Amino acid sequence: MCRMCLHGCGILVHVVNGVAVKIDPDPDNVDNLGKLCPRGNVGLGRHYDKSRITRPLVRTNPEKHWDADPKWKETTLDHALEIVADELKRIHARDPRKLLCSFGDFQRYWTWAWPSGAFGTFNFFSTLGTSCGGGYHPINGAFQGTFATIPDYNYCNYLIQIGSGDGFEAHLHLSGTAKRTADARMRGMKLVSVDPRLGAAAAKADEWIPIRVGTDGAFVQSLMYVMVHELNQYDKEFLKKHTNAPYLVGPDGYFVKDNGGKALIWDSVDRAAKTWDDAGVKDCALLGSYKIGGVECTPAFALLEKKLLKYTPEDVSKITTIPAQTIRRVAKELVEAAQIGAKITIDGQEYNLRPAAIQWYRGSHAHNHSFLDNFTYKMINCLLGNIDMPGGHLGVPLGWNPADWKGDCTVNHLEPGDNGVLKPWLYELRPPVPFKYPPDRYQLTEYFPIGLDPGELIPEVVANHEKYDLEKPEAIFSFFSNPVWNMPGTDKVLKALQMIDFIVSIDVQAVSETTMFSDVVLPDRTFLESWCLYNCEAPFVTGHTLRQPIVEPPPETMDGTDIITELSDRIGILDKWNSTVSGFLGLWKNPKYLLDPKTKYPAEQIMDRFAKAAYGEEHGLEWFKKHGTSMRLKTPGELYHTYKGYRLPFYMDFVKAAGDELRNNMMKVGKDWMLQWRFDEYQPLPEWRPSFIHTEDLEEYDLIASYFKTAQTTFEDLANIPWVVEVAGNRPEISSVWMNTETARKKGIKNGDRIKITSKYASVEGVAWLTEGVHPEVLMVSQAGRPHIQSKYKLSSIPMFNELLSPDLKQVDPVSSSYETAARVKVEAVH
Amino acid sequence: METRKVTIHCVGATDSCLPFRSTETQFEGNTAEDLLKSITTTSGSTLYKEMVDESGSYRYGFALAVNGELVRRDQLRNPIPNLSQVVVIHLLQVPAGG
Repeated sequence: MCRMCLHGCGILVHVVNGVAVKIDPDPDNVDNLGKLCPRGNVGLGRHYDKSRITRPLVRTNPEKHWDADPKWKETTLDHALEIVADELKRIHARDPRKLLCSFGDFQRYWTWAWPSGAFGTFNFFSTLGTSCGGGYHPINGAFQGTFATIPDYNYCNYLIQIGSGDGFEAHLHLSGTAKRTADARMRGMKLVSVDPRLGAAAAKADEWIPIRVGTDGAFVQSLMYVMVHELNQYDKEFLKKHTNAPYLVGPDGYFVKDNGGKALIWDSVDRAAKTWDDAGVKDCALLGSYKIGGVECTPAFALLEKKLLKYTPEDVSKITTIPAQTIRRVAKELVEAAQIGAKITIDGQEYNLRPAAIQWYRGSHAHNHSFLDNFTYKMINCLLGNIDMPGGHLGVPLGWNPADWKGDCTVNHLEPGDNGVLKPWLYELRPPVPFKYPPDRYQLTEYFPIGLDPGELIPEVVANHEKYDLEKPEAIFSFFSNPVWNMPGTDKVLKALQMIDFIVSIDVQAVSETTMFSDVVLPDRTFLESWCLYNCEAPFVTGHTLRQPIVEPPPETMDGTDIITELSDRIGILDKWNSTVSGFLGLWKNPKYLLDPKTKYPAEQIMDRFAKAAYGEEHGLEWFKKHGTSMRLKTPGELYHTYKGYRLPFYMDFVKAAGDELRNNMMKVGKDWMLQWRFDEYQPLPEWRPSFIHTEDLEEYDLIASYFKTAQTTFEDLANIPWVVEVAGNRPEISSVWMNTETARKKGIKNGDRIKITSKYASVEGVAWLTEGVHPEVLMVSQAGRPHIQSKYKLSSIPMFNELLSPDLKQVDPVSSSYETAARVKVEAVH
Repeated sequence: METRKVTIHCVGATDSCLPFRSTETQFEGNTAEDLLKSITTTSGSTLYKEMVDESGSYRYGFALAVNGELVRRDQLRNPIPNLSQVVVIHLLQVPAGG
């Protein structure tokens, strides 16, 4: 199994005389369908990286800054483990919460449970969550009981991609998804790419629509305006039967209920209010307003219909720069392609056929009002009636929680909750954290009842810990992670690091931005030397794929899981660690495979127990060694839903309730920063709001800088592999800063000029690449910049985009906890 | 009064309330609810109160498995077989946050 991203395609590695010489895709793995993306193809470069650590390193230079040589001293594994264990044992005895963790290896996700389950800290030093799904994951959980989403390439005929490279350069299971996307396009699927940048998806799309950064939500609101107010085409039956759109809302913004607490709807035939589950309802109203007990009530859908009036194509054209006629045409094409009313029977089961969808990802969702933006994108799919329908917008479970496995398939969380509406599943990776002041968490999770953990706030909270009545943290534990590179607001990150007494990294490379600041580096093994059994966000398949060692590891290295087991033993928490693994990997499915509290289990044995507990005695590691994978295609019944027993939360009253409760709690505590909280972001229906990047009075900062990922450089550890550096370094669209030709001409900047980009917080330098394939108001920067590492192999012309940002409470979306990832900037040539 | 004998294991982040990791126990009654109510936690409460809220739902992070099958909240009052393997699961957050 590949490890060059989080998803784990099936691969075959050719070994000659103990040396891995070639990686091929596994032709029999139904996940990646015999394909392998550029990352997978350069996997040997990661394994044979000359900068790889093969012995533990101990820092001898106490000075820590970008230019400081750590003056590493090699030592034995036993000595390095002892140094780390002593530090951690001391912290564990005093207050475990003073350890901040940063765990980045998705494929060894059980290690992520070590801090809370074994060590006793909930605190971390990472933005993995909000730098990843941000507002996307909470809305998927709340609306659809799922973690990620994918268009149904099996049947989709019309796909709009907004700020997303699905199937071209990023997101879910790229190798297989690229094949599925290509097949769909060969079948005739039309693709429209809405993006400030003519990236890989836009270049191959039928149509590229450039848009002003951060206004995607307004564009989609306007599509909905056209569907509802001009075309009167949307899936009314879906809304009535499968959502709470007909539920009546009172003047207070909450559902109107009968004395038994049941939400009411309006039967437009009998002209009477009835409970939502009344079998005698003839037809429920979506529009109008009604008086019940003297109170004016409105169906939830009618409230959306009214909100949409703000988004005429003419008005939205001014916001997005997309012509009004384009908005109208795309809306018409989309809704007609959806074939509202059509049915399809697959394997004897009838479903709604809705072969049109909108897909989005980081480019469109990672802005200041992320929750409302994500809600908007979900809502238009809901109006099309395509949620989990053939051809539409499908949920993709994370696949990590053994409790989600039904037989051999991972399923979504589809459980009816209050008044027949889907129970929101917001917290895929943790229970909700109740309001508390002072907080326990440096990421202030206590104040984000809907969202993920806002890791981007940690540097500021650490640096100003007294303001939040928190004590200074003492150590950082970084496992296969590079928080100094991936956290926004680099200046704040470095200031926070200066306050930390001890930093330990478990990694395979010694040249990362984080290991530069570490006191001890413990050498991990590469993916060609280690065990793993894994499934993650697999869209069309289900099962697990095995990774097994095929080359001999250097003797003074140790698999990361084994390092944690060894440290746990030395700290005195082995029983807790084993118990955590038993819970997290589902070993409880057969208690004979539960880990004994006092035994140190090598990773291989843990994987064997994992396999046997999940699949049965006969399907242990030996079975997987022989077969490689248990992956199989999902059945139609596993891909599509028939909505028996629950309705989708078109109107999210629970979001409004969460906001109201948070307001009450914060007003009682009354800290200044609490009084300024943006409670009105907790809206039960979506809308578009401008970000501060649109509204701040910063005339001289006349451009917006944003970043992008490519398939070659998605993760930092790719950006210093020699093959990648050579290929990407010769491609200006990766190694240079995208600038519109006309914009550059006005500023006197020529192609290839060295330029300085300045935000309110920092200046960075890069090389201008002039192109008409970028919006005139925008600078696009690859995220692969690593100017500060001391490596012969790096894309030296790319600036580090995160330096331009500086997240604070104002810049964080208070609902989803995502943050604004674009910055207002000015640009000038460097002479 | 009917009794059952089971082996009960506790996995995950269990230290907050549970007095053991694995033990054989005999309890009065025949349901998972009876079992959980019979076990006193380190805080002096019962395991049932630690795991189940006032509305009868599991508190977040908790789950129960009997003989490898998860027990839904509406199944807590179903009889469980004698000599069952019962696992209390308590999972907390992973630090990356999502």
